[in-house]
Amino acid sequence: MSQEFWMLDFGYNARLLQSKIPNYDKGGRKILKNFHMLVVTVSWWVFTGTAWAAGAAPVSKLINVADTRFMEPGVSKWIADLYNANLWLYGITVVVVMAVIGLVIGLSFDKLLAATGIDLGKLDHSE
Amino acid sequence: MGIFDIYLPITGIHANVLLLILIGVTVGVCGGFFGIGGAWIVTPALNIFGFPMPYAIGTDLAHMGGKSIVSTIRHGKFGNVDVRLAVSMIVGTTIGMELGARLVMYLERIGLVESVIRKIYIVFLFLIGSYVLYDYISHARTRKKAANPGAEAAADVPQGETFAMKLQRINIPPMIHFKSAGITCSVWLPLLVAFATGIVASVLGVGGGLIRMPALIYFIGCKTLVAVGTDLFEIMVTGAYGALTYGIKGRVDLIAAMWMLLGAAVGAQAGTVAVKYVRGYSIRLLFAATIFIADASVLMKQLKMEKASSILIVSAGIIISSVILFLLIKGIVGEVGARRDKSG
Repeated sequence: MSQEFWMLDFGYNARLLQSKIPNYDKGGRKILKNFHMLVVTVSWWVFTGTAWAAGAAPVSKLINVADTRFMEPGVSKWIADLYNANLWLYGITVVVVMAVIGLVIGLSFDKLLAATGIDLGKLDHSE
Repeated sequence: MGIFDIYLPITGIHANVLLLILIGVTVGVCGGFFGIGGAWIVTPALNIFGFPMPYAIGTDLAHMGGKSIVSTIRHGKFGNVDVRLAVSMIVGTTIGMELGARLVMYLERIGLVESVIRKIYIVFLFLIGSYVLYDYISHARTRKKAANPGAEAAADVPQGETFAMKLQRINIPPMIHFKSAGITCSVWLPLLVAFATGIVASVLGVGGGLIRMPALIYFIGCKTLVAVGTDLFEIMVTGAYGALTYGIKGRVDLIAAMWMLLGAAVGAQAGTVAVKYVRGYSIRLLFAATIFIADASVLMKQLKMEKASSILIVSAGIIISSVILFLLIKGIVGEVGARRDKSG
């Protein structure tokens, strides 16, 4: 795709983008903007995080092992075994689990609040 | 061991599940309401309960990411999140925090880090809290004068340009319109403000929300609700990154984080919805109180009163979140009652 296509729509080149995206007026524009924001956010997050980690002083290694000797089989033991086996996988699991739990509980409570009859639409921003 | 006590194999301690959930609810409510992460509540609370500090920090960051996703989505539906502004702030904050970390390393090398940083923190937080409080008092007086039926009083209401408005008029391309925030300014404004707040947050060792939220209001000119929602978007991104990096380093107790998130996800929704029933300037008043409490706790640590400082923070967090929950319930009862009266 050409450079013009990937130019972020801050009000610049709106007509150029409009001519290149099918169904631009019917939601294609919004989808492109959302996709681009997602790409920018994730790219900066990964890039700067990597640069940040690369620039940090080396940290002395402290090996920690989760004590699973007297644990019964279950979720806690599985988590502790994962921690002992592979910290990279453990780190990714932390992010995924936190996101999923947060979303499930949060959105469920959101539905509960909506069921009380209160209006959860856009707010007036007046101070 | 009581029935609510669990063993946490990663940190090697026993913890009470109800306490973890209570910490989660407290910080969730405050976080959703003020647009902050709440690390200054969670980290000392976990530390009191026996978590080694690196695990307290890592576990807090892990649950912060999950909790902030929920709040950000709700604030987004309220129209309080300006994604463009948040992305600009993330870029500036990240670079600023890296520079701040290097500045701390330099201060450490020349032996000034302990003596300089905590004192700056105390003074800085006091100044922020004082300014926010002064702003609220000025606004309250202005509203009182405007409500006065006297014609002279109404004419005396100052309509001056704020500092943020002056900064918005600086024309350095590219100029960008931030739709949800309702402002048009140079992209360099949020980048540089975020850069500065990133340095300060990194040097002082705070999560950033305490500094970024007022910066969004007073330097960029966001309305309070948009500042809250936009800041939460940033916290969601940085919290997720923190969860990953501390998880890889083995400094996250996932079991404890899950229990805390159980309370935090509910608390965050409650705190977020509570903003519907509180005017922007009232949020600032409560925020000023929160900053003063955080400042007092750091002062107590400086005076070697570590335990008292942690107890103050946890108690204050519970009181503030109770106030917010009271405002939420009062608001919901009022709204539902008004609807019934209207339809009945």
